Amino acid sequence: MRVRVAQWAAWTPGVEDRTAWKAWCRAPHPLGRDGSPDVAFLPPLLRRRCGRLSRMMLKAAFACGTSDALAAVPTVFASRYGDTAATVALLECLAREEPVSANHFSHSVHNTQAGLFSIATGNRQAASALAAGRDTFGCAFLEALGGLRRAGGGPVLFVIGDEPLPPVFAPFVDAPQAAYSVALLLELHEGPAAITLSLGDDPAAAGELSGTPAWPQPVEFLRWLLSDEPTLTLASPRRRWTWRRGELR
Amino acid sequence: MGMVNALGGCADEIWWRLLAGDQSCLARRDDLIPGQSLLVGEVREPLPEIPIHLSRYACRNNALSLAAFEQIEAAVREVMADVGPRRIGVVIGSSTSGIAAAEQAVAERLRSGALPASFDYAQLEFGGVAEFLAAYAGIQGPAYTLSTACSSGARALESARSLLALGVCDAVIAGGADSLCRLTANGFTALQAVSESPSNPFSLNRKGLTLGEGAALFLLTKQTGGVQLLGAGSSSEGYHMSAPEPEGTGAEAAMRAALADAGLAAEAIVYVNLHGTGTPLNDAMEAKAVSRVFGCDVVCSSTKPLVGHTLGASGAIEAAFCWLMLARRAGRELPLPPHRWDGIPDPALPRLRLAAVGEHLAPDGLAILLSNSFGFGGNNCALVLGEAAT
Repeated sequence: MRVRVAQWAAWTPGVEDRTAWKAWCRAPHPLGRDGSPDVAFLPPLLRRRCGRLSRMMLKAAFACGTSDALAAVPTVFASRYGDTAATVALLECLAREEPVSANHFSHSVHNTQAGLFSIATGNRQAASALAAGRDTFGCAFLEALGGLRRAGGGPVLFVIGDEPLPPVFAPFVDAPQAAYSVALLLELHEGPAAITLSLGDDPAAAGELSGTPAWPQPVEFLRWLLSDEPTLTLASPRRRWTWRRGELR
Repeated sequence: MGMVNALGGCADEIWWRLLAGDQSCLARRDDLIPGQSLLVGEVREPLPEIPIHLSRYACRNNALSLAAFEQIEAAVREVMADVGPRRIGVVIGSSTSGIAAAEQAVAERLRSGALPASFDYAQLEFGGVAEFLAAYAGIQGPAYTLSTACSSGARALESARSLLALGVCDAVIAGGADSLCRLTANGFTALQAVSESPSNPFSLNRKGLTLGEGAALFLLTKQTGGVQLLGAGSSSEGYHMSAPEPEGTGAEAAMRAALADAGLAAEAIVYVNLHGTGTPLNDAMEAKAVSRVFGCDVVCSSTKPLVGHTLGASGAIEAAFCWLMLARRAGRELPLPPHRWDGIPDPALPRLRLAAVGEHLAPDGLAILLSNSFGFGGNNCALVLGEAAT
C-alpha cells in the first residue's frame, strides 16, 4: 500500500512547532523529559481532564488540520506505556483502600486520548488505540494502513506519544525515554512522494542499521521523513520494519 | 476458536451451559472491593502455567489467554507449518492487561518499599498481552494489543481482518482477554454501574452490570468455508468518556458500518448478540439503536447475565458464542443463547424480541448474525458473522 504523509506535527519540550522540528532534524539532540504543552484550543472542562500524555498527543493531532477536517477522519492512537503514572496513582489508591475516583477511572483506559480527541472535535469516525511494546510504532502504522483501506483511501490521522516510565518502573526501561508526541495525516498516494512499509528482514536495508537511535522510533521516522534518505529501517528484538520512498524497485 | 469464561473451560462445556441459560456459575468475591461482596463471573478452572522462560509475562490475564490458545494450538501449528511464523500475526483486545498483578506489586511496594521479585512491567504493559502469545507460539509476524475499553475484543477481530486484507499476514490469531481485578471492580462501582444481583439487561428493574473475566481466541485465515467473519464496523461518539450518546447514534453507526462492510442489508441478520450490559444508559440507547436498524422483530439476547461483562474480552467472547451457534447448527435449526432477565420490559424503550431458554430459529438459508460491543471513550464496534455460502 502506497501512502503519503499529507501533514505532520510533533511535540517535545523545547521542540514545539514544525520550524523547530525541521531544525532539530538537521541537528538532532536528546529529547526533553519535563514540561507540558499549552492546550488552549481545548475547552476548559476537557483541558482539566487531560494528563500530560493527552495534552501532548492532542497538541500534535490538532496541528494536523482544520477542526472540520479533524472531525471527519478515522484515527489511530498509539502509546507503548499509556498514562502509566495515572495508573500507578489509581493502584496506590486501591492499596490504601481509598475510594477510586469515577472520573480518574474512566480516564485510565488506553483509548483515553482517542476519546478526548473525539469529544474535542466532534469526530464520530472509527478510533483505534493500541500498544505493542518496542514494535508499537510499526504495528500502529499497519493499523493506520488498515484504517486507510477501510476508509477507502481517505486520510487517517495517526497519533503516537509516550512519556518516560515513572521511576518505580526504572528497572524495566529497555528503550529511549522521552516525553513526545508525533501526529501523521496519512493518505493513499501514487507518485514520487509515496512511502511503502515492508516487514521482515530486508537485505537491502540491513546494512543501514547503525545501532539504536537515541530517540524514540516515531521521532526517528519523522527525522527520516524530513530527510532525503531513500529508506528507513527500525528494529526491535522481534522484527524489522522498513519504510521506502519513491517508486517501487 | 478457543475460549474460557465463567461458563467453563472449553467450547463443549460452555455451549451446553450457554443454551441452558445457566447462571449458577456466577459467584461472590469479597476481596475485590473493601468491605463489600461482589457477584462476578469468575473463571473457576485451573489455568495453565506460564512456562518458566516466559515468567516475566506470568499473570492471570496471560494464563486466561493461554487457556484459550491451547484449544486452537494444533490448528495454529498446522497453518504455521504451511506459511511460516513471519506470516502469522497476533491482535488481542484487552482493557486491563495484567493490572491485577500490578495491583499486588504496588501494594507490596507501599508496604515494604520494593516491588516483589515476581513482578515485571511486561505484565502491566498493554502490548505484553499480544507479545506473550506471540512468544509462546513462536509467531514472528506483527503482534499488538488493541485497547479500546469494552470494544477491544471486537476491534481486535476487525484489525485482524484488515491485516489479512492488506496482505501482511496469511493468518492472524485474534480475540480478547481480560481478568477480574480490583481496579475495574472499584472503578465501575464508583460509577454506580455495578448491580448487586445478576445483571438484568433491558428490564425495567435493571440496576447495572455484573463483572466477569475470560478469553476467546480465533484463528483467522483467508480461507473460505466454515464460519466467516463477514464484516466489521466501528464508530466513535464525540460525546462523553463514560456515558453513551443517549439516542444510540454511535451504536447505530457501527452496526450500519458492519452491514455495509459485509455488503448486507439489515434484513439479512437473523440474530443480534447485544452489548446488553444491564446499565440503565447502555440498554436505553442500545434498544433505540437496534430497533432503528433492525426493527423489533429480529431475535436478540445479551449473554452477559451468564458470564458477566468481560470488558475488553467481551467482544471476542460474544463473537465466539455466535461462532458456536453457526458451527453447531444442526440442519435448519439454529439454537439461540437465551436472554436471562426478570421478564419485565422497560416501557420507556422500544421492546426488543429477547430469546427465551430453549428457543431456536430455523432460517431458510444461511444464518447471519451480528454482535455489538460498546466501550468507554464512545468507542463502538459491531461484527457480522455467518455461514459460508457453499
